[in-house]
Amino acid sequence: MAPDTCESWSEQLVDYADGELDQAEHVRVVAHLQACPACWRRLEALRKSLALAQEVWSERAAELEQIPVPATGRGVRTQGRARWLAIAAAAAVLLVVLRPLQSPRPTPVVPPGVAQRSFARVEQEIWEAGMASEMLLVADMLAATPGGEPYAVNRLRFITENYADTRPAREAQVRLAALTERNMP
Amino acid sequence: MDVAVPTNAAENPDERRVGLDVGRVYEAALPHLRRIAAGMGLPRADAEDALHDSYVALLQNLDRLDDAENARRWLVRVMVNRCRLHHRQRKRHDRPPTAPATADHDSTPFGGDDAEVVREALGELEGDELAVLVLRYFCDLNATEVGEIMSVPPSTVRSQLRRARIKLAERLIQKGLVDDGT
Repeated sequence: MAPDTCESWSEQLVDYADGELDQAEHVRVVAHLQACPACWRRLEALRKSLALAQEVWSERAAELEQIPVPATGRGVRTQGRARWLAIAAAAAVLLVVLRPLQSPRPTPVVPPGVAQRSFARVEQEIWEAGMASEMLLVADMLAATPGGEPYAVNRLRFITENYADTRPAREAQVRLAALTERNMP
Repeated sequence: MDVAVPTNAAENPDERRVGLDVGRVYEAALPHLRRIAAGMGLPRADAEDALHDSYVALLQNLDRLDDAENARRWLVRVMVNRCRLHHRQRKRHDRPPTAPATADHDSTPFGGDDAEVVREALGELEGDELAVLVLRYFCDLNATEVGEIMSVPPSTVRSQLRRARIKLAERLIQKGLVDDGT
């Protein structure tokens, strides 16, 4: 890099590049830079290496922008005794919402020309029933938790709307009616 | 998703205190969390796991995070620690940093091979050095803020920054990517 006599300036050059020097040090470094082409090149190398690193970081950050954000339940406030409920509910929502992301819905492979469409459909229905059943379980847990009914109702509605043709959806419909009836004035 | 949380605040005056809005805290920290994962070279799958895990960790530690700013800083620290661990493990097994899955050599201002050289040089830094570089120069935090996250004084942050900048420049000069004029 630069001659040995300039090694001792390296750290000041970083601080100079970052604008971290006090006035006296700044003047001293500028005076040295004007007299030392090697240190000037070293300063340029410091600046360029950081710029290259920032390019690499930005490229990777752009890729990570595509990562789906966890369902944060924005608006959920933690308050005293209800705080644990927010934790349980958010964890349940995370479980239900993120599960399809982590385990993408399998696309059955049907050989061309083979009349296997009905089999693929059955496979799809099994998958949907499994998901709905899992969500129903979570909804039941929430409904059994003091104060958890609003979350349970949300989950049950989700099941009935998105997995309407499944048995768990029909069970969800019954539970939903029961909860609604119980909460009627 | 807005969910109204039923409270028993009326029963206990102490519980009227408004707590954290978890979603807001996480979303406020998210840009930094992503940048840290990107800067520290986490592969996409690991970054995705780390982002989700940090949210779960936030939920699990709400009791000791009453202030939104503290919570945001705590989240950043969780992510930094996770990334340092990943960096250390990668170095121990001598694995090169992963290139982005969508890396397009024509889309960067310098060639794909050059970007790989830079990634390698960054991967050769110590975990603490890389972390302070990322927090200072990619997350735009000052030395005091970086020190609070890394649990070290600002003067130590400055020392680590100097050391990291010099090392990085020397590595890139050795690899022929940066000209030292000699």
